[in-house]
Amino acid sequence: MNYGLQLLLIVLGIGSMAFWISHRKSQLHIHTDASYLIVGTNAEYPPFTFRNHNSEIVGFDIDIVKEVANRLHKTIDLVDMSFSMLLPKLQSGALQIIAAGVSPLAERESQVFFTKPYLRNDPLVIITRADHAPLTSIADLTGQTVIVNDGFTADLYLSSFTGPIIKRLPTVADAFLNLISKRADAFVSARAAIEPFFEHADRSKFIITVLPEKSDSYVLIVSRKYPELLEQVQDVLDAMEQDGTIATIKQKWNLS
Amino acid sequence: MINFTLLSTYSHEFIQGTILTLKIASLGCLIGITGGIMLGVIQAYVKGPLAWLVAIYTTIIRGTPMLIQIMFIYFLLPELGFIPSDVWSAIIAIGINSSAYVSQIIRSGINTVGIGQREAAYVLGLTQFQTIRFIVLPQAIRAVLPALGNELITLIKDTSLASTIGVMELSKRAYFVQTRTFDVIGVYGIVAAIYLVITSTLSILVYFLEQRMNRNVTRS
Repeated sequence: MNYGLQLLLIVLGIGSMAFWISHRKSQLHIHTDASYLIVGTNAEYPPFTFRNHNSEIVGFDIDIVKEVANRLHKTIDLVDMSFSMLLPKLQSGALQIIAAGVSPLAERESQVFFTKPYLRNDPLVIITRADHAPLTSIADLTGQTVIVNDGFTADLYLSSFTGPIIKRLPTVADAFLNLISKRADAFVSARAAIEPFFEHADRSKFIITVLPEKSDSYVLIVSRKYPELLEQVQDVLDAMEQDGTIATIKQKWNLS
Repeated sequence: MINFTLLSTYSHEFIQGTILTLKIASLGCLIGITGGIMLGVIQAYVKGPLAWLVAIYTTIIRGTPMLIQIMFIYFLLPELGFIPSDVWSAIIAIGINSSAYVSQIIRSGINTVGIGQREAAYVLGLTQFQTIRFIVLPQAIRAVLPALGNELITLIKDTSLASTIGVMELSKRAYFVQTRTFDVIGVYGIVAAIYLVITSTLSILVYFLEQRMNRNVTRS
């Protein structure tokens, strides 16, 4: 092939790719028409968001966001994906809201919008095996291997201490598996997140201690591509707080 | 979209992650190459049960995903009463995996060395060990150097699987920074660039090694 023909092929290739990308972008906007609310979740974090026995996505956050969509007169389009995929999708505008038991954090504020917390004061707890020497405070954790779930409040909080040897794993199930197989001394998590585990596991095999100095709060995340949506969602959440809807949903999931 | 000031406050995370990735890769590579050469030589020279065992080993290792192997080593070894650290679990798993692939590369390299060479060495009074060490292996390795380079590049990228057992290597650190900054494209852009620098440096090294090993060779 001569140079001219090769260059022509390259230009055609790049051109059609550029056309395809711009076409895709315009499609995204059609998809997010005003009658839909596109919500992303990672259904691996009970009781906030998980799949029940019929493989339906349910949970505290899901009930909240469904009620929000309902009050905004929008049809909810719930998409389940890995936690690490949620943010890129939200930032590109393919998702409008994330409901996945997430906590607000100042450093993240430049990338997304947070609503005000609809659940507060969920304390952090230290979980150890019953056969392990008791660990009841942050000071006790010094020199111990402590599991936290990546990016959750316990991770952010414990990372500010130099004492514990922190081991970050993606899910609560991973954490318990490592704890049981003696790969770690303790697991620190928000209390609400570990309760569902004990529906199937023997509570007497573990010691759970509340860390009174730190608690978790939960919010919805709204994409920065939809600034008008943040206000609408916040108004609905405020109304739900006032008329007791949020309290009812909390009761349903045994959260306080 | 990319917040460089925020990312620069996490620069030590990327540096620590790169150091650990290089450590896992180099030790894994050491196990892989040493083990691979031994297994390759056994497969090329030995007939019988030992060779069958090696064949079973390479079949199992090459036929199962690396991710599963890491999990297996991580949870199996403590059951056997031997608890290596997370990092060493990853190094052992990656080394074992790599040795199976390297053994096949070495075996094919040994097969390229003509029988006449071995006969000549025998006539000159070299022992079989000396023949392998000084006659066969240098030529075999030279022949398969590009394939070995490929395997090492794969190995470096496979170290990211150590993140599944909580090892804070480069890709796990990337996730760590991402969970704190929510800046996905910036974080993974930087990490991809770091992997690229490591692997292309290795490619260049392998290229120069090839040049060096080929310098006394005349092609007929």
